[in-house]
Amino acid sequence: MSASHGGVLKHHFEDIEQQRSSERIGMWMFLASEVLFFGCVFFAYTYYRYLFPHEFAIASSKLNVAIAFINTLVLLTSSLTITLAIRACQLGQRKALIATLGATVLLGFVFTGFKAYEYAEDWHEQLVPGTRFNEEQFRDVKSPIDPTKEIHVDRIKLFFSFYYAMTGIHMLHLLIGVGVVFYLFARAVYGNLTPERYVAVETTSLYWHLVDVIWLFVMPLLYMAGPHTSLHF
Amino acid sequence: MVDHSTHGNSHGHVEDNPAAHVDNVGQLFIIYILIAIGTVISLFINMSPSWKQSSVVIHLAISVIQAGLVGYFWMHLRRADPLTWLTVGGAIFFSALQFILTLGDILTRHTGAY
Repeated sequence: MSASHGGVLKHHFEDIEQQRSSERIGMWMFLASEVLFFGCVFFAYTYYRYLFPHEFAIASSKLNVAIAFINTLVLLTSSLTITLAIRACQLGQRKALIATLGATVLLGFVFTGFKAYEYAEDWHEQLVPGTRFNEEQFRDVKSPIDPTKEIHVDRIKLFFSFYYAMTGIHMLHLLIGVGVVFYLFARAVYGNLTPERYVAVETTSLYWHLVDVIWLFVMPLLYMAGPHTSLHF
Repeated sequence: MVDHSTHGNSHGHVEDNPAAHVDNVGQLFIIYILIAIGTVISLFINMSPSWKQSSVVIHLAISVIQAGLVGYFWMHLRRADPLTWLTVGGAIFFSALQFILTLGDILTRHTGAY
């Protein structure tokens, strides 16, 4: 290895490991800001769920938990593949690197596809507040927590507003991640992602994992606020 | 980040060895299976006939464990330096502050759901 580590080392760093540490901490700082951003969204949801638990439980039961479950496994698998990509890059295993990064992109698209299908299903079931919402379907619905409670449809609409906002923001983050991983994939295909550049895969994986972790909280909070009796598509 | 992938030689020259600190594939798969099991348990709890509103506590406990596994093993926090831990701790601390102080105020002024 040459003194500049194959041209990777920038002149303002003392050595390659100092440069890698800087890249990692930069990403971690960004992720910290993301945690604070999503924390605000989660807090707003928590507050209204505390106020309107009956309506939130009814609305949550209308969501497709089967798709959410499959999407969780899809996202988890993509997190595994991108972690394996770091290893492949470090070991200089170009084919494995291309395969794992390609799988990560593909799984990102699979998640997006399932989510799009779910949104279409919500549209057909008229569960989109402000645009296409059928209040009648909630007129005689009883709360699974306390059937004697009076139900306010406006609060059910509020839940769906949170649902679209939270899953939409998450989806946006995922699509950005897909774009970045695809860029790495292209670099791997063209042989530009050499072992000394593995930290590019590692920092991208940090972002990808955060998107995964956020989903691990979004899924139970939105999809499991109310009971489900069956799995269906 | 504490990473021993670089080594100084007798000339004071830093040798780079990216392959010196690779993940164990078996360990990665074990973590994957554990997280997947957590998701399956969450689903079973949600579909249980004895579902209660308080089930959210179990769901969130599972999510915290899953997030911990992802962070510690897949995001390599186990090899992280103090500055990274400070960054992560800061994010968690200020998020917790937001929840605890604000919810503390709300919960002491409202006696129950509307």
